Amino acid sequence: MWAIAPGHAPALLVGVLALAGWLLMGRRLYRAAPTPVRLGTALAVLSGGAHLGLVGGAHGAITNVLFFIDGVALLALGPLAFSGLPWRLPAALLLSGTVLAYLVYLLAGWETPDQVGLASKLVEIAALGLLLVPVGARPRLPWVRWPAVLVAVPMLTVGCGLVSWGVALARPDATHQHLGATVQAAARTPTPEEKAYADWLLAQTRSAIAPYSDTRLALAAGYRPQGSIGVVHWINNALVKAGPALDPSRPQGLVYVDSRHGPVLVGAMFQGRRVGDFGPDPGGSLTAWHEHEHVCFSPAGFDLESPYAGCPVGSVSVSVPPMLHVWIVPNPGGPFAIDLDPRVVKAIQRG
Amino acid sequence: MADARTSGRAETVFVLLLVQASAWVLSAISGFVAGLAGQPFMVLLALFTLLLAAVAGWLGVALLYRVRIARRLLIGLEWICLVGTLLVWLLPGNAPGPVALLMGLGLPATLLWLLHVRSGEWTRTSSSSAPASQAWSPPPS
Repeated sequence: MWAIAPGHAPALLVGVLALAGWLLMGRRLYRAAPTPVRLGTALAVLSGGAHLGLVGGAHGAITNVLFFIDGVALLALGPLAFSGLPWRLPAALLLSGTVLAYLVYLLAGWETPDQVGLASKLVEIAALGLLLVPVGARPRLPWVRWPAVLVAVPMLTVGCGLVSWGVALARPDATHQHLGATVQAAARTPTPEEKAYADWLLAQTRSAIAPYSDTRLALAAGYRPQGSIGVVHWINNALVKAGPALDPSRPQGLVYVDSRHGPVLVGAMFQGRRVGDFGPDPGGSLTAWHEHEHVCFSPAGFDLESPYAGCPVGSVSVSVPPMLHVWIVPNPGGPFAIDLDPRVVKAIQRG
Repeated sequence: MADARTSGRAETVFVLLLVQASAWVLSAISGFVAGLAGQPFMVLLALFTLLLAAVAGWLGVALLYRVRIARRLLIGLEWICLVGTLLVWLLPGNAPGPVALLMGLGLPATLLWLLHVRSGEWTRTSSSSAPASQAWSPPPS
């Protein structure tokens, strides 16, 4: 959902070129028009260009034909709106039909949600609202157009976002173990050497960080608590700056769970310096690093960024560098899982 | 609903605010889901976000009725959105994609561009300006 699908990037360029062409060549037509019609037709042309830019991609013959028809029709909306011919109803049907067809494609699994698809749908929804909204002293059918704007724009915006989100959650790509976490690429079946390394890493880390059960020693070693309540990461910034290394005696972070009796050490965390800075992975898929993308963080907790790149008020979107956790308490997901199981966390908190 | 002598700028702002408020509703849903998943304080942020969406919608309606303060409040709101987004993008690891550019930069910038144009049409008793649409005959549809 956060990436641009292969072959979709040129569509953005074609869309921008179509828009520039319309702004230059259509100026004589739209100059005297009200702002919603000017902006609405410009957005329709932008989307039309983007659709034409998708023609010829690996979508299949039928979809390519549909992209072509849709692109030409959206481009034609610009001049048509100033031709004196009836245009508003066809424009509304075309734009809403384009958005709904995208949702059908997503739900059917014929398309995966990506940045170009979502951006073009937002453009089309805005264009739909702008071309429907009544303007002027005596607009035609305001009792139909106002309700249409007030229903269609929010419904399509929220619906498109929810469907994209649902599809991304239900059908994550191979590198996403769950939405918001990208896992380092590794062969699925571990070799005996990788298995031996993973066992060694767990045993060495467990014994190396055992003294840090006493948080005073962790503080003395340069670890400082960061983040929210519950599961707290203590980070040593000097070790983070040194770069990602799998040295069990010098993990970049320690993980504690706040219990009634104080912080309980539950694991260590190895961390890269920046996004994409994955560390060594001698344990293969058993010890694959992961990074969190588009997560909304706040003192109140964290959640996932919406498909429209939005976070709840008071939280900010962050993408954090790659990390590898080593859990020294029993964890149903395994000692190198992305998360510590919430049931384990609750048991420690109660205990 | 609109002033007779209008370029449709208020209606344009209203539609764009509707898109922006709907996107905020989606962010609020994310917060509610986090609340259900065991982070109760996220529900508060979700409620604030819903409130913000409602306020944006209300300001959009107020703008249609030419309530003078609505324009100023919207300018303030959109500047906060724009500057806040740009600051978040400065955080390490944040590379905005096309959707983020559209919603975080394009939408607030367009709204500010529309709202910053000084015109009599923002007020109920407009008589000084001669907006473009007076000379434009809407096509028959």
